[in-house]
Amino acid sequence: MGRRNPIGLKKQVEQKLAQYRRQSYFSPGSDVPQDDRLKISLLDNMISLRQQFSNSSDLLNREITVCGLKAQLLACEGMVSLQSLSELLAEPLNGLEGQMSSPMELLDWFRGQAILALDQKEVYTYSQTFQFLMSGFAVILVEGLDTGICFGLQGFNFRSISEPSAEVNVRGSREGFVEPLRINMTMIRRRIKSPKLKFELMTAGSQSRTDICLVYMTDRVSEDFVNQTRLRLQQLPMDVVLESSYLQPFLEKQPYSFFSGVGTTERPDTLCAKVAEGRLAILVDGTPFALILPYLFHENFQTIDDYTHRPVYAAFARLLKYLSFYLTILLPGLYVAVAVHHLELLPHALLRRVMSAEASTPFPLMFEALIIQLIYELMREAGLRLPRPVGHAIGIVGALVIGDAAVSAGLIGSPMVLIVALTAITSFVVPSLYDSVTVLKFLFILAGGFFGLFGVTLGMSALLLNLCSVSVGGVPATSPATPFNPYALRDMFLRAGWRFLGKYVFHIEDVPGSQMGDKRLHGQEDTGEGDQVSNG
Amino acid sequence: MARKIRERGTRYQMVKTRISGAQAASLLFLSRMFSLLIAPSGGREGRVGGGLAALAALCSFLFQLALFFPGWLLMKRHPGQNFAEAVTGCLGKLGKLISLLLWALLVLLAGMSAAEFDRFLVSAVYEQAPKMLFALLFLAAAVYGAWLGLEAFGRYAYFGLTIFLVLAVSLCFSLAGDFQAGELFAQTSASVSSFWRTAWEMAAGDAEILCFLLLLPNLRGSAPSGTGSAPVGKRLFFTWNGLYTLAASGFILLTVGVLGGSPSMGHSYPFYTLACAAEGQLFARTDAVHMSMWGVLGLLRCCLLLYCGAVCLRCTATVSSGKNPFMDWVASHRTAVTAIAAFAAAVFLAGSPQGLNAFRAAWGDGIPLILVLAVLPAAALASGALASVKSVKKKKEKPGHEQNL
Repeated sequence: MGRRNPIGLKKQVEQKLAQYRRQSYFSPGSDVPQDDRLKISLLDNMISLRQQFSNSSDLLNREITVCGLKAQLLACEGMVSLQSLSELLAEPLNGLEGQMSSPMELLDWFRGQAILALDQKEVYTYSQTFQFLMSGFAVILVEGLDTGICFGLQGFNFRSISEPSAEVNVRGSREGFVEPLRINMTMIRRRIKSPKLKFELMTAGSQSRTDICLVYMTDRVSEDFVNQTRLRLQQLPMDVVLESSYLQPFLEKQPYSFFSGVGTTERPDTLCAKVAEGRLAILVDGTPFALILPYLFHENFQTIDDYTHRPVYAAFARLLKYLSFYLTILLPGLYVAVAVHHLELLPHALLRRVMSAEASTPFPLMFEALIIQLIYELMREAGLRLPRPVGHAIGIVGALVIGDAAVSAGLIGSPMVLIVALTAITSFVVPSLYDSVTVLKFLFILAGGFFGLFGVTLGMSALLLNLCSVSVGGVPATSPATPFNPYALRDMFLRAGWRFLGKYVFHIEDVPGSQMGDKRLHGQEDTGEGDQVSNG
Repeated sequence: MARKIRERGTRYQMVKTRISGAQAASLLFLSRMFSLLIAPSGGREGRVGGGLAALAALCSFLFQLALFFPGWLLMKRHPGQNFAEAVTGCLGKLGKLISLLLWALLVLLAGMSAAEFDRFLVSAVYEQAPKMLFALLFLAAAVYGAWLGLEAFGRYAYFGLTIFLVLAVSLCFSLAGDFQAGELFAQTSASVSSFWRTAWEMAAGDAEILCFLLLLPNLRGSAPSGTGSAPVGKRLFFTWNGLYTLAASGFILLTVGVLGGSPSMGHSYPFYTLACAAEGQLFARTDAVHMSMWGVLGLLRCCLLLYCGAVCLRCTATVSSGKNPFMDWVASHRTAVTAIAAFAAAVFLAGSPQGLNAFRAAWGDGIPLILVLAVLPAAALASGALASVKSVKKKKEKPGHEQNL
């Protein structure tokens, strides 16, 4: 009998998995044809464009003659402002007098003399042409030229700037990001009027070609980190990117963790504050949620209001948020663990009350906790997806069913209702962690029900270990709590006053445990060459 | 251990996982505290009691220092290497075998920690629970921690230290009223030999010194490979062992002052009995809370031992680049192999009380630790010195040989 070769076995398994993948999924690929360059012949170009566009109805083209030269004006329906098109492009072109001897002369005129639109680009390939057309540009192709001229005349409808729905504040700006990328860029630029602020546009998704924008301060961000992030985005194995969360797992070191080292925000002021600390932000066209990286765990407990209120109240509010988070994930599990396995922990008066309430219920306590949490989550999910008036009705029915009917019927003990109600409230205190805590509270109920306090402790340990392993760009998400730094006492558990906070500029590279490269861009042009990661 | 950082899509760069000295000190301190808190009192006959036990705990520091010194000398000679690498470098193939034995020892210690905690839980807290269940659960969590890496559980050690300090302070406050200073002087007549024996027994189970020597290159501020500077570590050793010695003395004083007499008499788990005696404002009893805390300490200890075991296994099964596929497989799956072995050890020790007692007695005698921390570094140093003498001789012979030619 020969010895089984583990390497060979691994290869076999990998081959099998690859075969399965081929049968099940299409791997995302580019739809760009081999011969991508624009042709000299206008007719050839139009045939190719129509063919590649699958003769789609929203591609509009109009043949025009400019100074005796044949040309085609192309645009996507609904993407271009008709008023701007007629005022900025059509009228000057019609008014152009005399004959141009060659297409190159016309191109030179476009390049050097005409100011038809502020955002004017030249394209040389079909894919570039499509990219600009679908971004709301008008494109002119001229007979005899293998170059297209694009004019930024975007005029599509979009949601107006409004208050962010997920990050409501009491004081401070009411502006939130909107869906179009360029509008979001202007909101950031208005807040940081520094030439060191850099926007770097690129596309993601081989089919959707979604515009994404890296935002950073060239004198504060780690060059190596920017290069690594750019590379990850360039190698993104996705064909469609519709939201910033599509990118998130590809930027994390531990994509299967309960917690993320990549944060999101809807607020331009929050984004500007983070970028000023040497972080990198990513805006994605079509979503008001921007990504911030690296994002520390304690930042989930910070809001813009913490910095507008008095420090004493801000510190109190922050401690409340930490308490809420731990209550949400641990309270149901701890209650089940103590009431099932460790009754000796309870003082006699409390023990009597808990026991009398639970004695009349037919289900085991753990099962009861699971059922009631599940009902609550069902109602929340239903209320979330329904129109608002119906959602309120669901809430009222839920309150009646759980709060009154279930207790009166003797199905559920009243302490359990109290615990679920309290957990439901506390889960909304830190909205960015809502999805994690929802799953975790179920896991802790199971751990507490089966193994008592030992199970809860073990579960909590595993969770904290999981959290401690999260890092982005070499910055541990748990910093500056662990590895510890006095900053933690300044703006983590508490919030010092601005006189004190203003003295020390926080920089993300300087947090303890950070392994970010310490080379900065110093405002130079980015070469794409990264430096070695140093041990901080 | 090193992890790979992907850089520019194609090139890989090896970056050593590093933790700070404070993280390492917390980790080693908590790991050592677990051994103290969970230790049963059986087999402690002949130990001194009362205030003398606390004094013996303080004096045990001298033994720990003596155990640390040979290993530290070896590490000073081999900056940038861990203990197993240094031994393998000095002793060649024999060194690889010794690394394998160190791996087996660490795996057994991890299994013993899990089995002891299981025995404690089943005998003191969950009397109806099936055997081995807690050991397996406990070890599964530890394997997860070891798999996440040194940085993850090194960071977690801070959380553990914070909770430990909070609970220790609350324990002291809640028992302050029951403390009777007279009990400390109840047993003052003990022979010098029994005093020093007690002190030695308190130092003898210090597996953390071995772990510390294995982790030394992973500490921030330690010397990189190839440089001649001495590794940073002395200060760390004094910090963690000093803290431990003080904490152990404090716990023994509290136990004697509250429970009376010898800490070994009448209570299977004296520190658990102490925790049972404590009452809180919120809870009627706090023993379950303390027991949970000890679980955190034990988890950290097991993570540490498993991780160090994997480090030793890496020294034994170095990657042969395809020459030996089995060794390659073991080297790349060292954490998994260590975990499987630890599960086997835990199942055996949790299922066999005699086996557990025998291993604990053998480990508690301190002979394995002397062999590992004193004899082994001495042999490695001697072998290294011999090799350097030989090379000097060769160099001296070489010019003469050339002249003759």
